[in-house]
Amino acid sequence: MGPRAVTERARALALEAAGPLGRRHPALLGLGLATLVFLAAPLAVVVPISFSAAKYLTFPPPGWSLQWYARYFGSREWMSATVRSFEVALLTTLTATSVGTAAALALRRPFRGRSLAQLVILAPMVVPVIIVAIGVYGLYAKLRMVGTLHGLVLAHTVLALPFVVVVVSATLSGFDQTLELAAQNLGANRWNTFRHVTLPLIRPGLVSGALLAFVTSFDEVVVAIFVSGTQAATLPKQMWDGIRTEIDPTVAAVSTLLIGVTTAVICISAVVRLRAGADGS
Amino acid sequence: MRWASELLLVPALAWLGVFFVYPIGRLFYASLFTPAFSLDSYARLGRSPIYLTVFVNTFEISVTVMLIALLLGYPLAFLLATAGRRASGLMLVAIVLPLWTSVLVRTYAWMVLLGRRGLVNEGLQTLGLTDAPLPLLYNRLGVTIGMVHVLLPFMVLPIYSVMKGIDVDLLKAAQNLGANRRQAFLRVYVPLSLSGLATGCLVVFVSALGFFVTPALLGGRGDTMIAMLIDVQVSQLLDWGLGAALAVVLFAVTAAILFGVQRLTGAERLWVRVP
Amino acid sequence: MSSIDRRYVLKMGVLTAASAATSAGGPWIARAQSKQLVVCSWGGAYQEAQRKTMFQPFEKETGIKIVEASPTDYGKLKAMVQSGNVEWDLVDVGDLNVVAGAKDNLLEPLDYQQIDTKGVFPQVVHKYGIGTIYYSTVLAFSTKKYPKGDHPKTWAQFWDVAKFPGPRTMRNNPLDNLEFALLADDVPMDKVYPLDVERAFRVMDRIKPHVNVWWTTGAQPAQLLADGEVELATSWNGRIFAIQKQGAKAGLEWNQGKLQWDSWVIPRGSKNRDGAMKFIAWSTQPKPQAAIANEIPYGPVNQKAFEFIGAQAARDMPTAPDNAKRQVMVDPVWWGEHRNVLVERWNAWLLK
Repeated sequence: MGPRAVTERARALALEAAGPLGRRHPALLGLGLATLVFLAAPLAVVVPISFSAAKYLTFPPPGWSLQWYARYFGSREWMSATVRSFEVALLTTLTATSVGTAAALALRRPFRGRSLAQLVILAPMVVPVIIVAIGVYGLYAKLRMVGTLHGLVLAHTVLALPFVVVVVSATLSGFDQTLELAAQNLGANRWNTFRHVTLPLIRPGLVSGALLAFVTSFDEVVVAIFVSGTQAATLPKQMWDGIRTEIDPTVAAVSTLLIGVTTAVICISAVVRLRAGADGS
Repeated sequence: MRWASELLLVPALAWLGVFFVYPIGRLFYASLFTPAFSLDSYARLGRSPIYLTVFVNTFEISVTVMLIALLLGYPLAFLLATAGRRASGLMLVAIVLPLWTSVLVRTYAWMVLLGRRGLVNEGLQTLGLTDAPLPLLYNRLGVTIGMVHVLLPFMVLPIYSVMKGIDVDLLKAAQNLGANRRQAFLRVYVPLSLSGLATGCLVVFVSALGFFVTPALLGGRGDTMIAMLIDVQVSQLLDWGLGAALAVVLFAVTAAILFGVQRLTGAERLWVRVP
Repeated sequence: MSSIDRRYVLKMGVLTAASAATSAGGPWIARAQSKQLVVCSWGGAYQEAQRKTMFQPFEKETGIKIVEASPTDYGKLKAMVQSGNVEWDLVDVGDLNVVAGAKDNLLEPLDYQQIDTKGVFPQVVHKYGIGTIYYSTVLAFSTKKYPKGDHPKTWAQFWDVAKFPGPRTMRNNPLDNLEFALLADDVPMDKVYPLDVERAFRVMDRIKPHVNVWWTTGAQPAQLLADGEVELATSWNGRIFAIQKQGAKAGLEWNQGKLQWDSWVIPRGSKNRDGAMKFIAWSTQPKPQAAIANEIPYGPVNQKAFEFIGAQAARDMPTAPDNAKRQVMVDPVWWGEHRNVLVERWNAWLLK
């Protein structure tokens, strides 16, 4: 083989190895990397600010200190807002996951009006939150439910429900229904079938949905601004006020903690997913 | 007992009926009955130039954000879809972590970054690219950057989702038939990814229309968006007729766009995989 | 019952029980409220000073728990009272809002049997509100940019973007702007009221393009000056002092400032009217008045407090004779009547 033929063969082999899409163009890689940095970097910035030794927000921080965390943990308002956020998020997770799973189960098989039902259930995900917020606020003002814990939970469940339904539905679509039929043929009733056959197999999806519901409620800010009032202020509502009325970086400390919580939730979700994958379902 | 499984829908539908459909219905009502029936609230929307300006602002910002998100998101989705297991796992973390982080935290981070003495300006000046701080905050640029950051994952994930399903053999086939790599990409791969692209654009645009927190904190006086106006009407001026009318208009525009696109491109559009 | 019905009932039962459990907190919350007082103020350094010198000592002395809220918002107050969802028991509002609030029937009348007004300036005593502190809106500047006292000293100079270029911040409200616009246009200080609104807006048109940020909360102008986002500002005097104390490079100019006051009001339908009255009576006494004046340079409304205020602090006060004589005193009655119309006009003007 002459040298020309060799180089051509080499090039063909390289192309073969790289796949039909070929090597990535360096510009493409550069853009992708820049975009990833754009996505992740802002979160990184907040962390050092929270340890700033200055008395007001200034960048870069002149020194390091835990004063803002001390401020956060020592403040009655911040602590009660944190507790309130957890309360609301946990209750919302409970309600959204149970109601949403039930709905996802019902939407498995086609029936008349299924599309309409799907539309209504998905709607809170696409309707702008401000509309839901003022609608609910108007209703709550009339019913004297502004600033109540249950009011927040009821509203947040509306927002979390579509997410649970989507995730659980996705899990159910990969689920072999003949297993259920088999169980029933062997004499199990619907509830036992659900409990012992369906539930264990869709549990990873359920957990994902529950985590999504938790995060949706915990981070929710617009509805909270209108509906949580003073007595039931959630952490995002407190942060919204804090960003606008305070000059110190306590908000940065809270943000860092929230980023930590989010990371933890994602890790749990990933672990659950991996374990489910490992069990080979 | 087949109807029994449909009964499982009742809690969800009842919940949404009372705490979603009914409140929005009340808004429709409030916009038309103040307290007697009148179209005055809507008429006022048309009369004053403020509202038109705000609608135009909102539309402009949303379109800009959608286009930038597309320009950044499509290549990233492509890299994600075609990367190895390890690399794509890492990339997904970088995309999903901001997605799950509170919008308030992310917007606050940009407030810190974009200031005249913030990291971005200091960086640009150190690199010698500028010699005075650029105004990056409290203006259209700041709002756009912040909103692109928040909405980018919503562009990347649907596109990625569709791209993952594209059969790479099709490209091989195209190349075997004589196309070069660029032609194969442009004429086979891109059209196949269009449904993901459409979903991403749709979700980003519609979300941007209703944004509240980011423009309120990062924008200047010329960047007022509809949601901020609704807030002012309802919580400060207590003009429920007008506030509700604005909300109804926003709702109608959102619904029209969603239904329009759905009709044109087929159903199940929004049933996107959530990570 | 079939198994499906049982499951459905079980689910419904759990949901009902859960919501019942959470709403059962209702009566307990209500009972707790009688022992607690929800106070809304302006946030930031001012509310911190209030917390340190008033809220915490009051709580210690009387056992009434104070729950804080912020920022004050007249619209929110109105919404609360009109819808019957009154969450604030005591609110710190601007002077004009006593007049406006009385007109809109949103406030409880104060019980002057309980509240001792001996020594309190009569100007701030009103049927529906009583003064909390005197404060000024002043011209503030970055001492990094103007270290040698070469900052603008009049509003005409603030408006002079040729001689004093640089980013500015002003308040997003006609309240702390229109008087300054007229002063910038050489209207004499004693002829400012009643405001010539048309003229004021024309003058505001000239400065509008040069204002980078329109601030909405008290903390903002101080923060913006501190981190170099702006070089000139309008601001409430105490906030500048507070940030100076933290080491930021900011300064203020008393000349042509606007002297005004805040008042305590009680929303109609407040859940703890008695607690609110008690607090007002307590905080109007000379000692607490002096305590907050020593903490942040806002003038006391009780003359007797001056016995307990240090000489240096007295000099920094908006009401100190040297400072007061260079300022314009606000006319809350005029504002109480015209504010609503002007806010609408301002919002439209700002968007253009």
